[in-house]
Amino acid sequence: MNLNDFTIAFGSYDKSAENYHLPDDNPLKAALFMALKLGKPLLVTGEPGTGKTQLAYWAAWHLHNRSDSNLTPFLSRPFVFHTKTASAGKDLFYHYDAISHFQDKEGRKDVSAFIYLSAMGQAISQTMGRRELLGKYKVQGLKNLEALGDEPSSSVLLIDEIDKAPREFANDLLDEIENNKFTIKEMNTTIYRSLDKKTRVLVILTSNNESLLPEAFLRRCLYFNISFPTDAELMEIIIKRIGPFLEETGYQSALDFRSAYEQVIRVFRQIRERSNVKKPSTSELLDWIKVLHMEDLVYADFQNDNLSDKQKRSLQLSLYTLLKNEQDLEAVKGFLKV
Amino acid sequence: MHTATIHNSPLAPLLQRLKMAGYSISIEQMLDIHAFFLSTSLSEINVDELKYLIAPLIAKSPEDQENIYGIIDGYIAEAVGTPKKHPFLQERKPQTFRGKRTSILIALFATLSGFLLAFAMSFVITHSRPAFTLEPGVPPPDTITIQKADTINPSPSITSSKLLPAYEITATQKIMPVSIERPTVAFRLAIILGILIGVLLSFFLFSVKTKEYTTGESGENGYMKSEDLTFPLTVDFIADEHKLLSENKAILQARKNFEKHMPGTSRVLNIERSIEKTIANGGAYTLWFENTHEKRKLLFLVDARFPGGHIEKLFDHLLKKIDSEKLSIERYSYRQSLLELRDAAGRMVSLKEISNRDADRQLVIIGECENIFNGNDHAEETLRLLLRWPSRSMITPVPLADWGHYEGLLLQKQFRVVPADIKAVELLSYAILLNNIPGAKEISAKLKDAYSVSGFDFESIKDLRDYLVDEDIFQFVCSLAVYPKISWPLTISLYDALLRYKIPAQEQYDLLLKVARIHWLNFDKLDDELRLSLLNELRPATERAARKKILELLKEMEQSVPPASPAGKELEIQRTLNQFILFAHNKKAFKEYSDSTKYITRIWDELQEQPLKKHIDSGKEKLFKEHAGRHMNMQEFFAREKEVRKRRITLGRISVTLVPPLIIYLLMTWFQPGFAYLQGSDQLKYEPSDVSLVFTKDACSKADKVEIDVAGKHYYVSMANETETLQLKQVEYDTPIKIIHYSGDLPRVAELNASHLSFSIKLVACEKE
Repeated sequence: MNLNDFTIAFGSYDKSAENYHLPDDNPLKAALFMALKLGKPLLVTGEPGTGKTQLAYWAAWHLHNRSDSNLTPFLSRPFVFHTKTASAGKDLFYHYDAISHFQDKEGRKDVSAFIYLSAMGQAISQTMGRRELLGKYKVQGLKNLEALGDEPSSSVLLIDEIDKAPREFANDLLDEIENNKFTIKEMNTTIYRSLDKKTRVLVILTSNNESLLPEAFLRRCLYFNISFPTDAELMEIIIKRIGPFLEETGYQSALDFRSAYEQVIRVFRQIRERSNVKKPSTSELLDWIKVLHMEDLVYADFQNDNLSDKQKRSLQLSLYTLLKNEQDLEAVKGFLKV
Repeated sequence: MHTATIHNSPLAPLLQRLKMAGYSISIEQMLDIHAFFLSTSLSEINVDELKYLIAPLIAKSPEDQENIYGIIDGYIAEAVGTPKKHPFLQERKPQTFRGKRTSILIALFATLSGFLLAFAMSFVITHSRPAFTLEPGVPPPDTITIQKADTINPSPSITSSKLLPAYEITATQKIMPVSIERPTVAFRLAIILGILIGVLLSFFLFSVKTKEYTTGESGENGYMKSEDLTFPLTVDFIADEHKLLSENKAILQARKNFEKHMPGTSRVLNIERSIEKTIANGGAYTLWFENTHEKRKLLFLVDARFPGGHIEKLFDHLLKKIDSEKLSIERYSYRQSLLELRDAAGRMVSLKEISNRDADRQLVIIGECENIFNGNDHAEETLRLLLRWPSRSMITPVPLADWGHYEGLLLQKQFRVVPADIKAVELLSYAILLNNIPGAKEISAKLKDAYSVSGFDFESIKDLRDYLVDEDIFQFVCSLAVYPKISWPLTISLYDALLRYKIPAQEQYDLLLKVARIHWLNFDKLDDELRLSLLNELRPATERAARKKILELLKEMEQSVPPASPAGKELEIQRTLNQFILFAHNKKAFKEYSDSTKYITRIWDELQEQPLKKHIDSGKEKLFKEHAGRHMNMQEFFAREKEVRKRRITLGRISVTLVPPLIIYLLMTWFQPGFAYLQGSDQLKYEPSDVSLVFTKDACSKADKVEIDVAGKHYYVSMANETETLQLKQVEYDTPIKIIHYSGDLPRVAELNASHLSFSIKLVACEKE
């Protein structure tokens, strides 16, 4: 792999929501539809890289573009809460910047200047819209109100990687969701969700199955596990998401490479089989294919000894996009004879 | 009250079934289910998608989701009566040539039937009318005769003359050929062309069929030829453990415990927390210190005396499940002695070296305690090195009930010793976390169904059945004998096909451990006698499912196994054998495997599958049909099959040969093409008949005599009256007739022929208007 020959490609388009592959017959769509209908949070689990987070972006995009007289229109992007190991129930609604407040020794600023709404706080506020929020509550000073739309809107709320947080966080979370309000203690203000039933908040929770979630929490959610895609699904995902990358780099169409991708998927499956510590995911497969395109290796017969030394070297380096562990790398190098 | 609600719901039996499978369905979940279905138009819900709507409400884990899908599929299959599409059912194969050939034959027969019907109808219509005869002067019925009325104008030279009398001739033909030769022509053509095509078709179809059986035969009888020595030597099945082996809560808990960081030695100040606490305490400085933590570091030494054996593979699976990015794991394997270890790449490393380098890791040995002492000349040295690790544990495949001296010795040396049962492994993870040593009582309390392997002779069917207790599990173990080699991917695939929906997911690991504790499953091949005994015990349904699954696995391997290698030969033979046995079992359901019969017939005698051959030849293969009070043996099957095939081929050949002539004949009869129905005398035969010529004079005509030349024979008609008639007797068909009219100085000649039976000739002399 000669870095001077590198074709620079950003490939950022492929993460746009409209390229997310979710056909009508995918059961995940049914689960999403049920969650919206029943007003329950949807817990989505699955290996890393199976598209759990992307699902929320797709749901927001899809619902935004769909007109339904029973629903207030959705915002086109979700509100996202990235769970941390120290997250607490309060963090879902707002964050209070105690350090900056402490530094404001003279106390010139109002406390609201050190508070910004977190994802669930935004979603609840959005049910009434910024205009009504500012009219009803004294929250003008809050830092990130511009993220809200003026008019009431439904929205998708993504709480990502909930299993990272302490066990009790999960239970607190559902209590907070069901409360339909939150209190900013520092401002002594309680903000209520709009009573309009047409304005919904679709809550999507994701988990990497890293730890067991409390039984009570699981019972109160809808549950869906995204299994690793089948070969046909992988092919669809590749075609949809590699397309923009190919256009950017001057290739024709992803469809032209269908036969090559079949081989890549087959080898990818075998690599997954041989990876013990961290199995490569779909997103890593996409990265790998990009590298294979850039190195003109997409049609190469990976297990054939006829590969030139340069090709072998490039293939070996490309494996770093798939495998993140020395043990797995060794096992796969042996398998691919590189 | 709730029960009443449940039973009033159309989904009640299904929910009941889910409850019986161990899923607790709360009232709230029940209400959600009903709320959803009541508020959704039924037309929006496809019965196949019901599982996707119910599972999210009840499932709490990926295994739950899969199990619930299975239960609902089963329920729908029973309720609707449609066959459940099992996830492991073979996909429909692309249509083979044989399939196409059948289609061709069906099409031919359909065409034939249609034409036969048309032919029959046409025959009935034709023969329901009276036959005709030609009777001059008495025209046959209009419906049968070919009636033609032509006006034959005289030649231009005649009609153009205004000065001379001319003729106006009207000919009337009412004639039908006495015999028509068209059937003869069409029949001859049809027979010649049809038989030619039929023979060609028959040759093509049956020779290609033979060719199918004869391609690529050399060396396929299981004997390896010297030039076959290419790699791979054997079929190494691949199975997706992630898909086939269920997540186990105890393993997840163990991993979670291992993922917890080890306490570090120092403490650090958390500034953010300190500020928060200071504000909360009204400005009084409150410093918040926290302990440092570091990633847990584990060292696994794994027994690999039986590489590829079930115990080794199960432990490998366990370690894969425990491994995580949040852990630092080093792993080595050992065979003869713990003093000599190997890393993942196969490099040798001494225990001494590891003990110097990795003593800060928490040691976990996976293997039998006995290995450390028994037969090890350096037991003391091994133990001395192992004692360097402050945290040392041992997971042994020996069941708790069979523990003895060696386990006791290690316990004395402050090893945490647990059996490999999953609850015990979970207990070990807690013990490592809390730094204590679980006692046998504590372990025993965790293991509900402890059992022993000592006292069982696993080569005895009775003992094996007693050990496994459950008949379905016993059948699963017997199914492992269907394939001649032992392989972990095969075992878990068969488990998936046979037991997944019967055994709760959380019991899968322990069941596989129980099976792996059967010593012969740690070898790569079964003893012939044992394999024969296991095959004899198989139930037909189990064997059928197992063979289908094996075919599925072999198909998956096709791409990665070179056909010319020994593994390719093995694959080919096993695929054909399994196809053959399934076909022999149910020819209709497995008709796509019919081609395997001839192949197996040929290689059977030389096949190196002694237990299977013995099993079938002794008439114990339950998938074969019964004959004379027992199941058919191979020779009987072959003989019957040969007879059937012979009959079928003969019938096929006859049909294929006869079909084209019939079709061609019918096509000709239907469309009457010109080449088969040439118009003219060559094709029509007529009897001689009487011809009448009627002469009429107009007022100006002065003709007194008309001369007629019939094939050189001259007749004269005296025109004494205004109208005169001449009857010519028995004139041959199409005989030329010339009418020569003498009207003074110049004769006028009109050419006629006897194909017309009646002519009216008007002698015109008056000037035409």
